[in-house]
Amino acid sequence: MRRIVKGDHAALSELYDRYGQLVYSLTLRVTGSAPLAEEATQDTFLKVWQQRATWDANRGKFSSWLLTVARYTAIDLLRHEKNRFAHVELHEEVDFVADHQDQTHPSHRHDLRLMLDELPEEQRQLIELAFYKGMTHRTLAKRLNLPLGTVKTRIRLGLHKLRSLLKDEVPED
Amino acid sequence: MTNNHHQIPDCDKLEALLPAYRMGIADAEEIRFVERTLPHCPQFTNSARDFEALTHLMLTGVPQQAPPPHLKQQIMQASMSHSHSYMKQRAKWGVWAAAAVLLLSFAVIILAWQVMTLRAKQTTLANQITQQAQSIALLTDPNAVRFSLAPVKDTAASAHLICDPEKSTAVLVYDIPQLANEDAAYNLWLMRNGERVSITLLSETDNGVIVMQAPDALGNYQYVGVTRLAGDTREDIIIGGMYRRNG
Repeated sequence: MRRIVKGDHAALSELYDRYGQLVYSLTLRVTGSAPLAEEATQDTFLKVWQQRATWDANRGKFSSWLLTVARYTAIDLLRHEKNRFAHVELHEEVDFVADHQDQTHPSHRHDLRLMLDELPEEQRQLIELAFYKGMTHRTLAKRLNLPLGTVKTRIRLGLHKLRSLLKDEVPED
Repeated sequence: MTNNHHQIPDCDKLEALLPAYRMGIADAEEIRFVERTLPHCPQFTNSARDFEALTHLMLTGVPQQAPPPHLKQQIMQASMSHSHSYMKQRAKWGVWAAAAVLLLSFAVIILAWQVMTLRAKQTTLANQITQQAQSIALLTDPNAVRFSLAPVKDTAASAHLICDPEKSTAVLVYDIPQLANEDAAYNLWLMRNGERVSITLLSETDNGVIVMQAPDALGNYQYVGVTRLAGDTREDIIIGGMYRRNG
């Protein structure tokens, strides 16, 4: 990243080799569309390139920063798609784990799929729509015809459950 | 947020909102609350770290799909063209910035010059007012004496001095026609026990009247004179006179 900060294009190429697939996969997961995922991936790497001077090594892992940028970029693109959410069936949005079991990142192949499978369906669905589709609590409440408090509670319980599962599977050093 | 009545951090509410905050799915209001409250509830530091790890897992644990082969080339080209346009834009901004700095410097110099000019005028005016006040005081002083300075050589110059022997301020009224025409300076001086003490240079802007300030009481001096200082350092006394108490 230091080389990128200095404006080294070769370093950007290496960065893409290392994280390109991860970013593309995440943006594809968010947008559900290959052309949009391409656009989001390109925008993500260009943002990193353009804003390279603002990256602070003390604020966390570079990969987390990069993927967070990718996630928000993809969500923004998705939001620009007019009436996107109105035409998508919710079950299409949340079934990715079952559909792509053999293609997950090697280091997380089992963890995330198994962990999400452990959740009650209504919690998993809400968490995935909120996290990967950028839906707000209010939007979710409206779309699923649920009270806002119920949406928040289910997400909170689901995330606490995931946390417990994560601690069980990845013991702290 | 803290409780308004007791200023106790609402850590229970924080615990409920922390997961959504760390996962980046909290509302704007919830984000503000967590960011205000988290520093006051250190017991949730580990919890925050756990949810950060969970977020990382959610970001990296998606099904992996290979990007299209052309995407890398596309990104590299876009970054190159961005760098190129960035450099051009930067150069353009550099020129504008330099021009702005130049203009600003020019404006500052003009402003400083005007301030200095005004201050000089103010000082001159203040001096003139002081001199006028001193002149008036001297002219109304019952102890003031007046005596003439006679031309030493064959010049049309003449002058007389009004002073109080007990004071160091005096008024010199002079008429030196050549003052305006010659490229020479005219020095007013006093003499005490054979030693000449330079007081000031006469100037045509004085309009023939100056208030002179001696180092001490005028009664301590025996002679007053004006010397023409020519360019070749030659000095000609043009007018002078013995100091006389009785005018």
